[in-house]
Amino acid sequence: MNVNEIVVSGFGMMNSEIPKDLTSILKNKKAAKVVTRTAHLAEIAAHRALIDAKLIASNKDKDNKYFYNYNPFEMGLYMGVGPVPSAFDPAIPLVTHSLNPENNTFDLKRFATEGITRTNPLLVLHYLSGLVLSHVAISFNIKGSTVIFNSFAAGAVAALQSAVLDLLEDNVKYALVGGADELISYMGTTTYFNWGWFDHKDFVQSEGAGFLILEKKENANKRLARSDYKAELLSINLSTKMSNECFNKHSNDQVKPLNYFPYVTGNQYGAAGPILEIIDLINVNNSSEKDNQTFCVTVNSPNGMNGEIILKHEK
Amino acid sequence: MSRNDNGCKIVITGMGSVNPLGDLIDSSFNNLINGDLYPLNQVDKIKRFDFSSFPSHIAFHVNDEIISRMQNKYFSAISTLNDLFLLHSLETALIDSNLKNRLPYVIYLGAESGLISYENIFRYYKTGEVDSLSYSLRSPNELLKRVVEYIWKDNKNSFSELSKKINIISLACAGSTAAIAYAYQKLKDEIIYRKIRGESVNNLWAIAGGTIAAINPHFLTGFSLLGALSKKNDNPKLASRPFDQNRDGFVLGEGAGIIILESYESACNRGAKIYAEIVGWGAASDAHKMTDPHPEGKGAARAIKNCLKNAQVMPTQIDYINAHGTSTYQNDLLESKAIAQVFQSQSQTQTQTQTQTQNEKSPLISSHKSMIGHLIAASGVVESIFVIKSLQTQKIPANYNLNKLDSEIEKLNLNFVGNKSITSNLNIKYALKNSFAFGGHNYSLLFKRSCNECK
Repeated sequence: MNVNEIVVSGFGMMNSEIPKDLTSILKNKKAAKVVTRTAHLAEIAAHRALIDAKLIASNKDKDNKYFYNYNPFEMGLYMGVGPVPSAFDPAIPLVTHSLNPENNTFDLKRFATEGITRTNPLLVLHYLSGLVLSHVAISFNIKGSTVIFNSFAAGAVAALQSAVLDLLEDNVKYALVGGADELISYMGTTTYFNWGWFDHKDFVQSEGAGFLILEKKENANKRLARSDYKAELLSINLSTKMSNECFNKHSNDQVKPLNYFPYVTGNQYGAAGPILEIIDLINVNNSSEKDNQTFCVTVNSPNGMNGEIILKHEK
Repeated sequence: MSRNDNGCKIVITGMGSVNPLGDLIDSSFNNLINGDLYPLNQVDKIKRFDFSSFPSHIAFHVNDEIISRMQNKYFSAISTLNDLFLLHSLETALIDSNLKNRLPYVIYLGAESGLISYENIFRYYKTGEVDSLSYSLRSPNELLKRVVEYIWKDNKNSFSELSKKINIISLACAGSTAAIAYAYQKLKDEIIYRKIRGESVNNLWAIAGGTIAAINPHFLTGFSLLGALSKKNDNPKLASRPFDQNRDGFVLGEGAGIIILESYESACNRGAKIYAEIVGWGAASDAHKMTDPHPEGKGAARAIKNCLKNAQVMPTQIDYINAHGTSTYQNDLLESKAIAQVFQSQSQTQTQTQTQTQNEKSPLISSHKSMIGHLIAASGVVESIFVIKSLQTQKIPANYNLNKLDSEIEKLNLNFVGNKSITSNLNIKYALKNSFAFGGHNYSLLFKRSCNECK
């Protein structure tokens, strides 16, 4: 994929010192109770990225509203998420009211009557990955293309790829692209336990979200964002064959590979991992004395779905 | 070569599906056109489990004999219906396109999380058994990877590379439509890249589709909670009735579909049969409410407009629209409004004086869901396959059970297909396919009739 017209003009993350209750820092407090923690994390990181790219004002105006500096129809949203937005808590009324008191067992008939009647209909919002995407789209009035990939860390790579395709096709002017994962949950814990990941001494379960703002270099110049470039995207590929597609296409670039392996880096951010890694590398290069560093993020995701991203940092 | 250059034409060279109308494309489509009694029997009260106490307990099933056949064939490696449906569709499509055991450029699939066992969750809360919880839900990418592994079991070298090119889109009812859209976009981008470099585009092809096994407590509970399912339990055959005044919700269906997308040059060079061309796609978000679509269908209308813009086709060129048409009150009304916004605003600029003339000129509209139900993540691809068959055979399936058009929809003066399929005097060149997902994610695809003009 030829992506060298695309720049990263902002980023935001939510991956450290995360409070148990995120409601106080959410922009869209109204929806906070009905959506998952994954959606909360995504909303906060997306908000920060939009502010960083100067696409949304950091403070509310006199009418208590945020000023949006973009046309909602020209903003696309692309995300990767983990296996499922995974809280089981909302299902508790459903299953507890399914108890047959006579023999203390699960009763499908009671489940379908008592259980369903006593359950909040919005339980569904916790089990469809697409609703994390809906929450972010509604929170920031995003009306362009929206797509979500459900394949652990590789989901974020696929999201990046799709965002770039839409930008190159002029389907959107801005792409809010990122990943969010809520791994400290019943689902996350039991999944990793069964996969034996806790046997890796360096594996630490975590949670977080990261977002980038991508746009065409031409557009960034036009809106005078030039001095705020974070990096230029050189190549992106859904394959870890580093000597193959990405590297061949940029054989003249000075590539500095920095490997990203989720379960040996000490933290497991799942679908948020690649984006958080990109942000980390941009920050590292910001503090470096060298100019125009090129770096590569490789992603190894469970089930063999992998990716690599090459970026050039500009100072 | 510019990004909009027609030198990067993409065609459909293979299709496979299993759905409530059958496991072979041609016979399924014939059943759809003829409205045969045999497939209509596939909508019935759910018998696999005792769901009689659920508010809605009817569904469109894949025929039990077909499931038995698939289990006998694949059971050693694959154990769930989701896997079986996808595996069958994938294998059929690969054989159909003569591409079995060859490496695709990309695979995009629409799928949702697998079966949640509420009984296991219940057991966890009672006993604290972690194991029971972990097996209560399956991640979609996990199950699909196993399927692809099985398909390419004889070609392990290819598989190791192939497995890195799969990705899963979990976008509810628009999942497989989005999968087709992005597979098309990705393929097109690679064709452009290779052509700029003077490289061959031979053997450049992609797999796109989706699968769903929705007849289980997880889906039935979720959609029951939302009140989206039809409660016409006593008359299952008449329950799914898109655009009808007496519709009261959708009926769940199950199945899978796969289409093979290929560069036109590659297809011609290897002498492949070409079913149709895919010429564009469009997407747009409602950004309205989590639970309700935009009441005026504004997001849906923008998806259609974006699709036409992407394909560089005028609304007046569209001959047939395959609607999302779920049979829910909200969807059918907003979709009709969206279609009217796009296609009638175009008509208004013309000097049409008679309503009848305008109506005859607007595209024909039908939904397949009265015959197959709502296949959620797989609905887009299975219905796209039938749309492609419509282009190929010049036959449009009926809107079965559409006895009296919704009065609000009637005011929009759209051109709905009636209760009988149209099988003659058609000249369909462009056909639009809509898919609108819960949460406000709207997708449209545009297909064009192929004249098999390889030279």
